[in-house]
Amino acid sequence: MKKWIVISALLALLLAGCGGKAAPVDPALTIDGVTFTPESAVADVLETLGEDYEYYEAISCVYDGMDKTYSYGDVTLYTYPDGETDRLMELYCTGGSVSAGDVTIGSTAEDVKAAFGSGYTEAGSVLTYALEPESEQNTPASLYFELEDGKVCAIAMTAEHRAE
Amino acid sequence: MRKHLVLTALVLALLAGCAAAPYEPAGAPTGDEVLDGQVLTLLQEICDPRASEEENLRAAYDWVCNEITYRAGTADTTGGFTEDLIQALAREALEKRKGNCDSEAALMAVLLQRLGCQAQVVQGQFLREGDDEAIWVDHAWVVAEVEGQYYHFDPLYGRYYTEDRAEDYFMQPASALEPTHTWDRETVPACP
Repeated sequence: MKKWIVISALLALLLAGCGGKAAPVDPALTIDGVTFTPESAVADVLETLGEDYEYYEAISCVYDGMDKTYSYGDVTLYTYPDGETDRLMELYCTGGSVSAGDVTIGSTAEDVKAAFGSGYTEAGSVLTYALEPESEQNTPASLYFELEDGKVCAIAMTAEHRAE
Repeated sequence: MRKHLVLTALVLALLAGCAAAPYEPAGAPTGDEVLDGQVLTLLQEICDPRASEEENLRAAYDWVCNEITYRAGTADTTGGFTEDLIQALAREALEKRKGNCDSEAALMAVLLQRLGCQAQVVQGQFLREGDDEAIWVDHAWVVAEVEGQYYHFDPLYGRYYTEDRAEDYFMQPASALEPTHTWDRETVPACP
């Protein structure tokens, strides 16, 4: 009898583990005290980060218009065209005053998991917390952390988007 | 007794399957130790030693299509795709899982080379449909020799346009790409 109770308890734990779903993480980055989300307007990001950037643009491989990149050294803003509007595709930070929750450059992978939970995917040197996209065709909004020797060397946020 | 023999045979077959030797790619590494290690690990994950060459090429192509997310690139490719540039772009794409056509082509070329195919990055143009009109945009993809014939591989457009246009850019002859791609015929091996 005791054996069956133990087996049942183990099965229940196993099933709970399989069915457990981590709470989604709302992507947001704070740079110099200003918080940005995937919905942030490109103009607002540029206004905050200033005009001291290197600018690249090229006809987009996949969108109708120009891909634009604003590089501030530690922070890079990637945009994609959506009609007449440039939208935030990604905000990528490798240094400076950037944080996502309590995680900063130099935090450990364990710090990231403690702050954002187990709902991540790990690929290459990157831990990604992605939201469910509206369509399977879309690249999802996400918060991701690049790791080097177990420590965060880049923090980035992407907005949901897809090619035309 | 017979039942036991069958069961034993099944268990042995299962164990043999589990212990199958890992996939050993036939091609040469690039010489970049970090990149070569990552490429070998990846190919051993996605390729099957019992599969055909084409099936393993497809596995590598599908992986690039599905796992690399588009992000604008800033690499200077005006001097062409040197070995150093290809390795740097491929390494970055593998580590960060992001890149544009240049990165995907570089990674595709490295994977195909390691799988045993002569491969080169093609710099050309792609006819991209816009809201108002179709325009030719700079683009990069790969041509590789498979069993004595050269074929085109275009993972970026394989991902973005295959469904919409019902076309596939895996291991295609030149004639299949001509409506949507242009390239310098003198620098790219002729495809069937």
